[in-house]
Amino acid sequence: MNKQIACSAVLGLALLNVCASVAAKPPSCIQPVGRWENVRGSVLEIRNYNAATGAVSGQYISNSGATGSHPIVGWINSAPAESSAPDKADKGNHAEVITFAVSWGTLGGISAWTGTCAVNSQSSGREQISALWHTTRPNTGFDWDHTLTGSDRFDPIE
Amino acid sequence: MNQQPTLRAVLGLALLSGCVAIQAKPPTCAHPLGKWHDELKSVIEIETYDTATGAISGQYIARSGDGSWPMVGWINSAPAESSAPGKAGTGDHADVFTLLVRWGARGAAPGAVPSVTAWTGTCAVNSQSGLAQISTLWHTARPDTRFEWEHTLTGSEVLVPTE
Repeated sequence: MNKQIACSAVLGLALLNVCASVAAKPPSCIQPVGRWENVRGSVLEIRNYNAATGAVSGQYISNSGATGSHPIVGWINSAPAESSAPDKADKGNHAEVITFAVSWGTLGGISAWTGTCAVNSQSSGREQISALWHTTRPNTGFDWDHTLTGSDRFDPIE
Repeated sequence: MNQQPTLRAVLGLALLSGCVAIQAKPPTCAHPLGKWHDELKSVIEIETYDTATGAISGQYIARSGDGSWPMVGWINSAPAESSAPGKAGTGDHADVFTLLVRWGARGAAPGAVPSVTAWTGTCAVNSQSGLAQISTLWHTARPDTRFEWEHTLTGSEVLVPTE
């Protein structure tokens, strides 16, 4: 009886280790759940990814002005190359595409990033999310400075 | 005894008419539930709005009627004094919206390719028409293109309430 309990405990611990090592694996374009970091040290944490619908959700921890974490929602589209560009398959360029948005809550404003996830063949040779963003703020000095734009790159956190 | 059901029926009909009238009202910046359309008559329908978090969801309906795609996003209506302390009263306030759609392959219009799009912008009353409008900039990213540099498209779009 005691042996059984000990055995279960060992098995449980072993499984826990496997789970922990799976969770610790850095995210990728195909398995995006995990933490991604941009060059300013802000973290995009994708907690849920529904491969059937493409829906993603999670949180964004900003390191550039906004404190705390803020919820994100979005979509990934991983349509295979042959389904959308039949005559371009094999000779075209394929990337997973992602869009996600953050609401900055009581700070005011929302941001949406849209871009691709693919291997950066020019520098790191690793997967990264390259995105353009728009941020719109409810309260500004003038009616023409509500929306800002820029670009971001997110690398998987090991 | 027979009068009671009749009275109930009349009351029920009156309530129903009230609900239809409420539903038929075009959406506004503060009450965004309903249908908004762009100049090509494609429709973005906001079906849910959580005023506590700002989360919205709904669908994008192609003008051709060839399909609809799910939409998620946020609205942020932070009051003027909370985000621009020095500018309260003298600056410009607008409710801000972001809408995200995933264009799936299934049910796609002929020629349409899978992709994702985010619209981001402000909602305010157009002083000329007197109606609310969402003025947005959008980015669309497509998974499959001939070259690496043509995955992302951009443009602008104005959404107005559908009467």
